[in-house]
Amino acid sequence: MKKILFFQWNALMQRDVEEALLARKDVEVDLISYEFADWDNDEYFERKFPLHLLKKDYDMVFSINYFPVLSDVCNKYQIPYVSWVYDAPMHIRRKETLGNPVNRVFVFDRGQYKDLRAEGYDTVYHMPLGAYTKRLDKMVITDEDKGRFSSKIAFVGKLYENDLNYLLSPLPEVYQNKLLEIVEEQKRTYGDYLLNDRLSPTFLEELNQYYNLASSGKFQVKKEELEYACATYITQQERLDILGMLSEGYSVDLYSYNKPENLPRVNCKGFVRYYGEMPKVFRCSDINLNISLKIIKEGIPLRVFDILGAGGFLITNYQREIEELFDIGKDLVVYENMQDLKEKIQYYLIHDNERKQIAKSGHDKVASLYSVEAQIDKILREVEKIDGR
Amino acid sequence: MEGKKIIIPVHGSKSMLQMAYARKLEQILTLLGHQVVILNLDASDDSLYIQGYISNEKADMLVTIDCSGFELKLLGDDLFYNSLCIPAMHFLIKSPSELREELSERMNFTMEFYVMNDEDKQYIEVNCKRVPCVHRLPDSFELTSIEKIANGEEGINAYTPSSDIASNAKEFPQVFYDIFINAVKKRKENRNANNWDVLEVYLRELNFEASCEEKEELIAFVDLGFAYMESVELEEQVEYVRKELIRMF
Repeated sequence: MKKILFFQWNALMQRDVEEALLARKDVEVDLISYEFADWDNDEYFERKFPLHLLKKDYDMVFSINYFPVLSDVCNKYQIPYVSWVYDAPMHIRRKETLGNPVNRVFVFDRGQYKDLRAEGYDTVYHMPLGAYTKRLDKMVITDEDKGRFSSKIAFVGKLYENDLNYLLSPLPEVYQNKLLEIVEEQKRTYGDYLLNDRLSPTFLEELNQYYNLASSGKFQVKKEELEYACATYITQQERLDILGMLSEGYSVDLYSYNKPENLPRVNCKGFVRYYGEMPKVFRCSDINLNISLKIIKEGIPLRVFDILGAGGFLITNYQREIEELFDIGKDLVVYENMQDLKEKIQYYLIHDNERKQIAKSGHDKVASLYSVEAQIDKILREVEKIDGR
Repeated sequence: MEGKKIIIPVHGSKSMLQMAYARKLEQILTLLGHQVVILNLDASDDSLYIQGYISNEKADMLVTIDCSGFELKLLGDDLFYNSLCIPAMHFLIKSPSELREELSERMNFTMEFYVMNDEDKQYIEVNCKRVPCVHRLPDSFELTSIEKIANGEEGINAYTPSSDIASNAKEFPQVFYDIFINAVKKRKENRNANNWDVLEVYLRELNFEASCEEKEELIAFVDLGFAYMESVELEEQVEYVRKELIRMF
């Protein structure tokens, strides 16, 4: 029987993955928990973790998201390190550690997978995320919950603080405009990721001349940083635009840490807890929105699985992998632009049965094909295949 | 190893015992050269404010008593303390069976638990699988003196090294030194010994009938014997915590 050390931290899917792993009969799972202050460097962890790692003859360490420090320790002791990543981009600085031969890094976004493979990281694989319907199906909705979490239209998510304005400020107007044009173009384009091509090495080189000047040679922007700043800016703008537009005609509830000042008609309901509250919002609301972070090139963000797994009706932006995993219009609804979204909202708000049918179909599809247990099973089988190679 | 900043969040308004224990630990840690901040969790109902306050302290280590502050949770319902990324000593005064819910939380492997007796240790090992590590405290950590402090019967005495007390006592005339030695012995045998009882019994053994005024003077030597033992215990506690901190860091 394989022995797995499941490395735990405050990850969103943490408890579900733990339960799914512990329920398996074919593996022995030990749990260890730690919260990194810095995912890339942690001298304390490097000293102390091996004391636990070497207690048993582990066949693999498993974690949600990828940690360079953990990879280094596993690499040192030659223990395979399997990670399932729900972040895009990965918030790591020491990207080169992805190449550690012990790694089997499963990313949810095929676009990200292709990019990393193209960069030579053959330790990276693709695996969509999932939902733990076993837990979500047991959820009981009380009358109090209905009062508290029912919405006509609900959006749970961040409004993303971003660095774009900071990055724009040292640039001359012509380059500010060029950058803003790229941002606008990406914002208008649904379903295609343009930033990677538009932020070309030549363009980046030109920008860096100005950053160089402004910082006396101390600052150079990396492509990943600029891409992330643009993507979060676009996502923020898109989310604000959509919430603003919809709140003109409908009741819109926003569950977020952020409280946008310029959207007086949006009901800001504060944050909701991932396990105890968020699924109730999804189940109790007529329409749940997903507006993906723009940097996710093709993949399906966790929020889509969260909503469908909870039995919520979902309208989402288009992502290439959505049509591979789901039947659009049957399991969920996709909008192609702002006008399309408005029309679909209008339609589904008055077609209760259709909405409920779609929510049920989406839920059942996730439960039968993309449950957390199923996805973990695919990962472990894939790892077996890799190691048997 | 000294100069660490250590934060002890306690329910200071709800539990006098927690506060007294925190003061005792503060004394131990201060003697080891560390800086201690005791935070009263009851000072605000705003959980996010308290979390922000604790984070901003940027402590090197966390100490809790009876899982004080385990109710502070992150967005994913995880323990807030996990996010501090620092070693933690969790002292349990209560029986762990009373803290079962708290002890079922996911905890960083940097968290270590300290219990009062073997039964509590065994209970945790059997029933609380998520507790990363549990130790039984030495007998010197027992609670009698803390309870007295919590009840307002005693304060936390300033520390005088036991060696200073002993060498001071040796200067006494033999008869007083004997009272001191007897008090030390009786206090060793019974931590709850009463100073007046110890004196009375000793005088009876000597067949010495002392006046009230004489007893008032003699009790000082018994108290010194008790103070000596308190210092010895405190030194044992300090040494224990010193070794634990070296191991943890």
